[in-house]
Amino acid sequence: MQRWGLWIGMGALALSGCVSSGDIEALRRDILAVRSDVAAQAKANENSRQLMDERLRKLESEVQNRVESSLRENQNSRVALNQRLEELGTDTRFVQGKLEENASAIRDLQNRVDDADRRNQQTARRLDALDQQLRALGQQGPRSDATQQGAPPVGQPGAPAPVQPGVMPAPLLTPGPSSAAPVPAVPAPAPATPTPAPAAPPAAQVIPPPEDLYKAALQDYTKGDYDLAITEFRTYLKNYPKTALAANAQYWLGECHYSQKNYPQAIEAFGMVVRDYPESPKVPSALFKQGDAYLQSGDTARGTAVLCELITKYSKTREARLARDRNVRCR
Amino acid sequence: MMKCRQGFAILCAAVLVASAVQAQVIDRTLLGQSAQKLTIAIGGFAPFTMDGQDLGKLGAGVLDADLKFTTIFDVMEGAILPFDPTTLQLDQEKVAFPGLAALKVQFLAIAQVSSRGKEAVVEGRLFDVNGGREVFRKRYVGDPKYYRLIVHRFADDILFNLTGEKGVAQTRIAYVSTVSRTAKEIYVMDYDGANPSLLTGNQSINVSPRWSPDGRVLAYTSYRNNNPDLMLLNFDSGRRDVLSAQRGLNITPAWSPDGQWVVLGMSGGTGSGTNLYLLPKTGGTPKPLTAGPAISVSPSFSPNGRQIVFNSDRGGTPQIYVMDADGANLRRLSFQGTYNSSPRWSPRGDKIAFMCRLAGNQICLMNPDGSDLRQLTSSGANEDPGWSPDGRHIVFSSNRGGSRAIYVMHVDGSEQRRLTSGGEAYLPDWSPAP
Repeated sequence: MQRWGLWIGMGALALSGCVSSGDIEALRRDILAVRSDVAAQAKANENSRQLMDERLRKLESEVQNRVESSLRENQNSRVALNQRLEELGTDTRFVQGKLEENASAIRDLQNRVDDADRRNQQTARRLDALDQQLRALGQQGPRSDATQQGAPPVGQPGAPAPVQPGVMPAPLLTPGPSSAAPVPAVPAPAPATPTPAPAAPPAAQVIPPPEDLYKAALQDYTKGDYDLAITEFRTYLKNYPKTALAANAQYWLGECHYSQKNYPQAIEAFGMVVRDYPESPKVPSALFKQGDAYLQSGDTARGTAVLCELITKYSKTREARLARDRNVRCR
Repeated sequence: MMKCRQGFAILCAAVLVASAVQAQVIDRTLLGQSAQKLTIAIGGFAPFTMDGQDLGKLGAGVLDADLKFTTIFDVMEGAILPFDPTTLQLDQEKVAFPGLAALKVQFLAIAQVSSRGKEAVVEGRLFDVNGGREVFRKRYVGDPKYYRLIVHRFADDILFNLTGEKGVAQTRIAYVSTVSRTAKEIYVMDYDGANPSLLTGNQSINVSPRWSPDGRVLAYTSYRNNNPDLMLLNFDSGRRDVLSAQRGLNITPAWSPDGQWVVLGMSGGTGSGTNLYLLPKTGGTPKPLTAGPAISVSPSFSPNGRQIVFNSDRGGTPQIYVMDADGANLRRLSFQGTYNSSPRWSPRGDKIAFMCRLAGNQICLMNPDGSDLRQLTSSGANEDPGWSPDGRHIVFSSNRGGSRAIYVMHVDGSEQRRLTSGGEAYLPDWSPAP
């Protein structure tokens, strides 16, 4: 209102054309008052802006704090999660290690059971033989000293029972120090003159115990003496087909053929692992090798089929992964 | 003859032009069946000074040590000979060795040292005492700098002529030595510890040397480009080539027995693990053999090249595993102790040497099926086993004498002997026989 009064006053002055000193004085006062009003107003404005700024800043920093803390929480929980995952991975590996140890212990036990079985069978056979001898003695009556002494010692103590002596290469069948030679059914004719023995007569040949035979065979395979290893694995499978190591022997037989690039025989041998020992842990490896042998011999269709069987039936195994690495196309 | 670059000249063994006066060869299978040692006496090596050293005395010492190390010979001291070999009529049809048979000496090695211009000449002869005949005679000529190598060659020839077996007297051992706080360099020395010489010298970290089966290339891991890359050092050309420089680890190489492939541990693949990859020696795409988050390293091939033994913590603790060379058919071999590592398949195929943690780090042996575990060492911390090419000896590192050094022993753990002196030496690898 004062401003309006001022302007009207000034207009009146201008119209009247003459101004007194009192008027000017009054005018100055008014101007000063107006100025001070304006300054006060500006100050008030400034204050309120500062207030606003401050509140804004507070808000901003609060928002930022909240965002940051929630980010931090997120990150912490992600780190924790990762750590937990890693721990789980390590735990799983430890469990896997324990499983491996248990499996090994079971294998050892199985081998011992096989060994005990074999000994039992030997003992039973020996008892049978003794039994028969006793019966024969009973039938012949008391007058039999001479025949008894001259009879072939079927059950010589300490001698392993003759287990189908097969024809074997010499290096394998060096009889152990404790094993006495079984009496051959047909005595070998004594050569007239001592010759440098071209091939030792199979008379003194004994099949070694399963573990020794298996070890010898595996060693010959490792050295690359495949022909010898094949004979040894075959002898093993012929004589000890029901032992825990039989599936392995069948697998290594396939490996020997494969190493010789004899793919048809390898395919057959690996196939027999799958067919005859379906519970063996060697089955996925046998399928992988069989598929590979097919591919190597140019039979892409069969090779693909076998690898696809491996991928579907044993999808979680290392061998299935290896097969997938080969980029086979399964329907 | 290949070009011999300076620094590699020592590896060019063919500097020795051996003009062989080959005599008849006796039964090489003499030792095939019997474990009994052959008794041999060393004669000759009369004093002969060249370049300020007595080649006679030196040669007798080297030959004596070489023959003893084979474990095949009982070596009689030359001093016990009841006669002076120079007085013998050696060129007769049947030589008489008065008094030797009574000492049960079966063979007599006689060497005559002389010179031809700037070259040293060793006239080596081996006699069968009982038969009174010469087994072989050979003249060895070479720079006196390589005099030890000349005598080593005579030792290997003696062994080969009597047993048909390739000896290890001319072989070498590569190893890693700490030269400063930040630098580990690869060195090579003779199999008996003589003539150590530097191979790398890049002031960086160089580890895991592995000789190729033909001895012409050395694979190793080097940090010289700020990443553990796999390098190949070619002895013929002197070239050093990068075989694998994937980001992350390219470590613990192993050669396939045919020398065409290298298997190594790499961490550059997907996932957090370090896995084994098969790589052609000429480079190319690495083919994964293992997968997963575990650490699988330190591979070693079986002599037929169809199996790979390696170290993995896939079961929670580092253990020895074996798989077919295509990655299939994985089996765990070690079940005793919570830490087994650094497996090496013997050249004969029948044993795997590894580091076992049984009352400290020790060198152990087992069969390739995990059976028949044997501990060979017991003093100090023993690591990094490696085989001699004949499979009769094992090289390893040990801190039993204070600092870590290279040692050798026979395969039954006997006669453990230190080869390096001063500084830290470890990660040895025995070269193939020439």
